[in-house]
Amino acid sequence: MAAPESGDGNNGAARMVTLISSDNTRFEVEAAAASLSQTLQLTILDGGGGGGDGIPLPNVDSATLSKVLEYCIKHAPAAANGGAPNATAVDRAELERFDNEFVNIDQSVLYSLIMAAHNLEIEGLQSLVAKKVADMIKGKSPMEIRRTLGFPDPTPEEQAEMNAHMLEYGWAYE
Amino acid sequence: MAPPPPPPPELMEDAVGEILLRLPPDDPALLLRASLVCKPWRRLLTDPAFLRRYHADYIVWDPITGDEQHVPDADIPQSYFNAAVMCAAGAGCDHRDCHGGPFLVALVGTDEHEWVTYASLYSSESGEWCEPSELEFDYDLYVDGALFGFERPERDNPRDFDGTALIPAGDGLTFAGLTPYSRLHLWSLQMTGDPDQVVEWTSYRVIELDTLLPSADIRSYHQSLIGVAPGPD
Repeated sequence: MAAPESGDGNNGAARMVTLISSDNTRFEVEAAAASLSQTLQLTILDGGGGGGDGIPLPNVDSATLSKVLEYCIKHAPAAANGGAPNATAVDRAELERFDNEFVNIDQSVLYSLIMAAHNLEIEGLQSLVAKKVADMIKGKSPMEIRRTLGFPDPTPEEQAEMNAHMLEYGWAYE
Repeated sequence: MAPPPPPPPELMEDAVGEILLRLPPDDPALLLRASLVCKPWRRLLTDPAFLRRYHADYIVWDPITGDEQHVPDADIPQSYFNAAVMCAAGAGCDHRDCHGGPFLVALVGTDEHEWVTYASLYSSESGEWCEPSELEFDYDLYVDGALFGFERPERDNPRDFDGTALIPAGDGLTFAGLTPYSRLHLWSLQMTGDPDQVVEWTSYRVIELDTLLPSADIRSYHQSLIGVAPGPD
């Protein structure tokens, strides 16, 4: 584990930390961006992740981590402003545009992001990806929802149970 | 197009609540349909704790017109909270003809773990809450022209409000919070009538209620602020 450091001793440059993905790729990123993760924040506050040490993230692969960091880097300045009373409407619109673009991705990537955001406790990202999936579900029947999300077809037991509940609600199945 | 990949099984356990929480509440049938998707979803969607979180939005009701408007949940902690609704027409409005018109909702909430208090403002015109701002506490107090300093209480956190109130005042709003040692903190918020306005709370007064309450008997009881009536300055 990373040994505590007193700081990088360089007040001019932003402090950097290193994150190591499950497939052993190292990512160097500003501490402020990585600290959007509640999970990493304490380690970073304790001085971890600097120098040659790096913080290992055994549950996040490099493709997912690079995507996660793209989000963190973009959102770090606004977060550093403490939610930014001085953020302009233009800044907010730009972040919103970024967010919309950001979740316009393959479903498997989306799932990886959900898990990573959950494990790393990055609140904004959790909310963003969860909203995306919720939008995919809107207006769909239970079967359509299963297909959209890639669930396997229901087993006969599951099917029977669904039918029973449906009768209870008095609705057509699809 | 290839069928979508199956979600990882952990997704169902950990993050699905976050997803289902974000189903739009304006379509109740959607929750029922979602509850038919599979057993874990059904379990979650019938869990009272989940339903409490899901319905955590606000309704602004106009008793004159019967109009109901849904206001989304604000992204601030609400272990303790207080809110006020105001006409958004600004200082010039005499409130005779503004029913059903644009409104503002001010919300002040405290996090029970960190005891930090935040304020945010919702505009019905933009349909959004502004970025929350943190209310700072000042340990100096300025009462009736005299400045007092006092030591930061060691054990009791002054952010631990024993009740809060939001009071429309003139063109703005006053937030009152009672803290331990019977200190009533007052902040003010000036409205500009501009929907893009930023919430800026200014601490303007701290009143030591112990010096005002009539008898020692009353002072020995636990005190809690439940409301404030605006009066002449």
